Amino acid sequence: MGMRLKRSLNDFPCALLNFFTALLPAEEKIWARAMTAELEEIGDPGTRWTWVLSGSWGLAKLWTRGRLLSLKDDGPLPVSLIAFYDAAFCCVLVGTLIGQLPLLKTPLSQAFIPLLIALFLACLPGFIAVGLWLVDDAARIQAILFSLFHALANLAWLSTSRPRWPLLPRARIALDFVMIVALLLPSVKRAFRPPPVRLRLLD
Amino acid sequence: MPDDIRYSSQTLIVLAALLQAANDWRYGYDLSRETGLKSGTLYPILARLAERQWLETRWEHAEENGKPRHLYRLTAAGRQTARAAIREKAARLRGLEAAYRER
Repeated sequence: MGMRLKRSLNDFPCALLNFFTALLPAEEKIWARAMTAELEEIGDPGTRWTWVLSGSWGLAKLWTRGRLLSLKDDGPLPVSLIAFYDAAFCCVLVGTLIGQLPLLKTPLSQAFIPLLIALFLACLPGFIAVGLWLVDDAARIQAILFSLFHALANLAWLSTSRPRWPLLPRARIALDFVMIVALLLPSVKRAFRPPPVRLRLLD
Repeated sequence: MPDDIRYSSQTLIVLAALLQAANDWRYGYDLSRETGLKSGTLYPILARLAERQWLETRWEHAEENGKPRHLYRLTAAGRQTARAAIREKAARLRGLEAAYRER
């Protein structure tokens, strides 16, 4: 039993790396497989874990770099940056929501629907980010509206209360304004326009 | 192929390790031990070098009871670039050292 447990613990880093490999796109998979193959040579459990944890971080870096490069190829740089910002914003909102769950005093059965609505709202910038990534014009308009509402909400917050760091909402309003202007630039609008289809009447 | 690779000190260490036995195929774990770099640092560097075609990669033939391992070796262009990058870094360090001594 002890031997089996020891073997399972020793195999766990390999299983973890295999799990990450399955999540990766084809171009990064090769590096994950290369790392997994090296695990055969590493006997010490501590070194195996270091190899896997550091390797997973490396794979995450490779994945992020790949996605950022593809964003750069698909649309103009301001759109890529806004998509990245919206995706990060979504992660922060969802993270905050999950972090607040233990503080919930209402029974979960009663809080379920409001929580679902809050989760949907938190996911909104994420949906917009995906749309911008796909160079969808509807997402561009949604991003403009979202930035506008966000700026107005920050403005309302500034006028009704005294935030701890007043510079932060001001900076976010400025950022929202910059994003709106960037998304209204003619070059950006052109990038979202589908290529013209040439129609010809058949003889 | 873009030549805008950032020669971080880690990249230079990997290039120097690969240059030491430029004709030999190297394993990732061996490179990691030799350079002291963790897998999370080493593999993104190897990926970038391979992307720029400075690094050849191949899978080793599977031996009995073993998984095939990934092997690495610098290409001719990679060797040239590695030598130039290391030389440039060394010259810069010598310049800095000279400036420090003059103080």
